[in-house]
Amino acid sequence: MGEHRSNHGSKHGSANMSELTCVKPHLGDLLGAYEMGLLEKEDQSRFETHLFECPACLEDLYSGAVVSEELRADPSRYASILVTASRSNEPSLLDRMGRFFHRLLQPRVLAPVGVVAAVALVLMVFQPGQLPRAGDLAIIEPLPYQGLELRGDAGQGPDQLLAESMEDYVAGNFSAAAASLGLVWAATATDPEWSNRDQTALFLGLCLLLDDRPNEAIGPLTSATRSLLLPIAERGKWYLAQTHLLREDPKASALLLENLLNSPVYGSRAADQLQSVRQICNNSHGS
Amino acid sequence: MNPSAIPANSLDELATGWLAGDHSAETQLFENLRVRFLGIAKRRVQQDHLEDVVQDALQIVLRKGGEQHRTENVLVWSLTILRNVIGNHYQSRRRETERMVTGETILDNLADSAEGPDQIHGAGSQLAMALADLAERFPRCGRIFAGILASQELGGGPREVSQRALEFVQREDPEMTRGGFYTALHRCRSQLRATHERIIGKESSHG
Repeated sequence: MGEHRSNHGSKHGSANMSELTCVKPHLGDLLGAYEMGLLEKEDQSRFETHLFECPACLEDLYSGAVVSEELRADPSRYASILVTASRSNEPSLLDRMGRFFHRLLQPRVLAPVGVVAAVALVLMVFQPGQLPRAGDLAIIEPLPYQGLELRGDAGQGPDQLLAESMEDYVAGNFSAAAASLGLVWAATATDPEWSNRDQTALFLGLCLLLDDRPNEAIGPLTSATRSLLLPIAERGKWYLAQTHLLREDPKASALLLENLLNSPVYGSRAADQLQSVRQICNNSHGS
Repeated sequence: MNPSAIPANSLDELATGWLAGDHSAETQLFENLRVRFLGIAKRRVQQDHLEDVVQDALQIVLRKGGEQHRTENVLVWSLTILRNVIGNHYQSRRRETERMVTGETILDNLADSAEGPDQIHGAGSQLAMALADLAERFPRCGRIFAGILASQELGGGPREVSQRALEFVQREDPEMTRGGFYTALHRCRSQLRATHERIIGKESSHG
């Protein structure tokens, strides 16, 4: 494994950094932890002070900044990649990883946005040494919600109920949210022009999915995929693809993921997931 | 900046103060960043352009930091902005040199630059490939990064994130101390960077 102190001199633009060496290696060794946001304030300050006297570490931090920012921007995506890549090498170790993080997640499984994605990641490593099932690949995470701009009269009827449903959703009470969104969905069935119907369909499907009822999620999510509002249609496709994975229907999922490859929001995720889904399709076809 | 005048607060704390309207924190933060930016830019940019490049980068940090309410990992994030500004500077210099008779030195420098915006833009897929390669060749590094990233996904402050990741790694390496964990992370990071640069190099040579 390469030594950090001999590795400061990699290519950084036009500058020649090959002669730079960390002046205090015991502090320089904190660089990776600093970059990944693991240091507490005191150590953070200590390392930042070190950067004033150590051009080698400042250069190293500079040249790695894009990578670390990218990693921290989407940890679940990159953790999934690591897990998938390691699966063939160290299944037993990754199994332990799954159990370890699953234990930590148990009490808060439906709490904040992102945690459910981590559960999905953990579930991917639950079956060491075996090819993943389609359902293992599903990424089920709540959409961030900061208050939809509800069109129409928000003080009455379906708009009011929709607003109340979303309060349950934000609180992580997906079962209650699904129940009331189901009422809104049914009540507006004869009014397809109701302006918030597509949003209702999307969040109803998502709540059903988060409430572990994928079969029921298909109807509303399919409806959301037909929305004329592109963000809703794309989100509908993404979650419908996840629903099909949960139902062990990778082919249906692959079709939707292919459709999302050009999406600025879901494109890269869809491409990553599609690769694994196709592998499963090929394997099932082969056997 | 005189090292004895270095503020006791971390840059993230200064950024928090700045965004809360603390003028002193703002002054300290941007002076602090300016010194670091100059240290990096002077190795890459000719002296007569140095101040302009640094000022451009600081302006962007000021604007985007305010818009995004950026209070975490402020230095690393700011360095990505400086990197973009320097990349743009190279590009504008390239356009100039294409119009003018130039010496080989500048052209060599431009060719040697790995800091263009396009490469930064394409970082995601290249990084994915680098991580997969890292996990295959150095499983321990794969575990360390996977532990940290999964822990980050769970949220919490640095102590929680770090502690969960360390505990995970300790299941394989029970003797692993926090210091040892950070050192191992740092070495793995060097491996990741080397792999990433190799992949970027390959793609550039194919392109």
